[in-house]
Amino acid sequence: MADNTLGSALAVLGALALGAWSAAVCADPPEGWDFRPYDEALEMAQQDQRRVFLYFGRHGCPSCEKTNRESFADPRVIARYNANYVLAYVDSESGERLRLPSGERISEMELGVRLKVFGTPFFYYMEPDGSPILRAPGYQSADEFLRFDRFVSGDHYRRQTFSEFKASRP
Amino acid sequence: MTRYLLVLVAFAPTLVLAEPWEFGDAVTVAGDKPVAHYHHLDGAGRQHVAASDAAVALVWEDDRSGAPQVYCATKLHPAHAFTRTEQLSDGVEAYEPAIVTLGEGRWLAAWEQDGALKARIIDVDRLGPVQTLAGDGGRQVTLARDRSGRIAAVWARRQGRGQLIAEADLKVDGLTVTLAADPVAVAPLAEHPFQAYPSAVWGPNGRLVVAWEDRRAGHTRLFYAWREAGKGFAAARQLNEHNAPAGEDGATPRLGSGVMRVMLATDTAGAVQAVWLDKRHAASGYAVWGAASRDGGRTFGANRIVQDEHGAAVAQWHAALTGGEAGFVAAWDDAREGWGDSGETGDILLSWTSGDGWSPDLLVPGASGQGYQGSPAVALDPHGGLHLVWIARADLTAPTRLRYLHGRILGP
Repeated sequence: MADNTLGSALAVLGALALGAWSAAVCADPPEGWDFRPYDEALEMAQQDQRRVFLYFGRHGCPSCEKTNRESFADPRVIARYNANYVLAYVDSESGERLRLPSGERISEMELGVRLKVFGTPFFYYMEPDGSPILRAPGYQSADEFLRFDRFVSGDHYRRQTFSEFKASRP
Repeated sequence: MTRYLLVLVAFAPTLVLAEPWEFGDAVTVAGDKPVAHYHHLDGAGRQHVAASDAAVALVWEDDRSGAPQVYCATKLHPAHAFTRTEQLSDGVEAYEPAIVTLGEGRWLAAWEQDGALKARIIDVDRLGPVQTLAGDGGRQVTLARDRSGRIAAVWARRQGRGQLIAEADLKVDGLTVTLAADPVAVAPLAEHPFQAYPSAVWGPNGRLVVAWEDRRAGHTRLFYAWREAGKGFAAARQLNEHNAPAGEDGATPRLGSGVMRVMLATDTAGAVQAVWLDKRHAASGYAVWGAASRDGGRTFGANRIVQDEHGAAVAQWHAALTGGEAGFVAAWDDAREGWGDSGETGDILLSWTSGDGWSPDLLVPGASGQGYQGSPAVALDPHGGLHLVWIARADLTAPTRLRYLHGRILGP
């Protein structure tokens, strides 16, 4: 029964993501994912004590579009990331404002400066308090996203680097 | 006599030579109190410093009152320090100020406040009333003034779920500023406009030139348009060169390499220069690119990179631009130096027009070194003096200081 429920949910989420991208032609956050502004996501993460998955994208970014169309349409990735993280999306050229945990108010573009986001897409895995766990720049395949998730959600990052983790589990 | 000479030496600003420039000591304008605050220099056109023959004014936003508000500091030449700081905004929250000089120790500042655009005249010893320029969800305001006294405000106004660039001439009467005419759309679009972060200058013969970001193609492009006195804006043209590769189906994909935050400036000869952040070489992030107009902003020449090759491996941020008698000066921050510090995140660099191109980059003494020195704004005064203001902090999470220094170019 649990498997069926999960299967139905994955099918719905997958259809949502694929449907959205058959119509969308730019690289904004994929639909079917519960992405929210960075500050709102951090607040929720602290309340729920869940980790944050932060996606830095850019309007019209080809590699973001490829990530959305391929990796983020994979039902396994959708299920794991919606289950394991509070999801945040930042438009790296946007002037929209957000509030940092320190109280400082900055633009989304400025957050990219602070986190040294030199290109998009750029993915951050963070503790509930916003401290960094892992940075992943550029296009990543669905399998790589699943590997990142195992590294983070399995707490392996507390004992080894991602390179060590990857080498030990080819 | 010796005692008096020692006193003079002790209080005279030190000059630092960084050929062909000479810089004075950097001073802290705000943020020198034990209580931590966050100062920001952010806004369309990066107009945070304005200098006339006699005086300099800075505008910024900080949270010293518990909420973001806009402040102004002024000083007369040749005083070293800023002696007067005033809060300009009077609402709940205020952001992204811009300032232009009106001459004779007077300035006009505009900013976003609680969903409206506000403006205020700053006199050397008093402030005019806060006045509303636009209440339509306006934001990202920038100002342009020429030597004849023409003033224009340009901003992004909400339209549906998007934004449209609007422009209005302003009228200053004593300590009051008002709209001289109803705002007009610079480049009207019927469907889904998203235009942002304008910059504007007056070219020769009363020509107003405006540039902005436009997202309607599915990615961000830069456009510009101009109007002559008493006429409407000419059709907008694209400023940044973008050669979109064809997709698998042969159609042009709605994707691009990324551009943002265009700045315009004019020199005293009437040339118009644009610079912006451009990620056409994506591996190292944004770089500073530009284009020059030799016909007063009607057309722009080929895009050219502003920074030198030493900055090619790192991202550039916060490009700013000013123009004057000696041409144009661009400023930005990047982390090419490193300083052996893993937390190193930026230093201020300059490049200036030299011949047909841009000079090698100059790391600004007093605005570089350990910690973060970034988010610059620049203005040339009528005597060729360069006024630079920026944000300094120990690292990118630390409290901030607002810093200023004055420089002068000594030769070509």
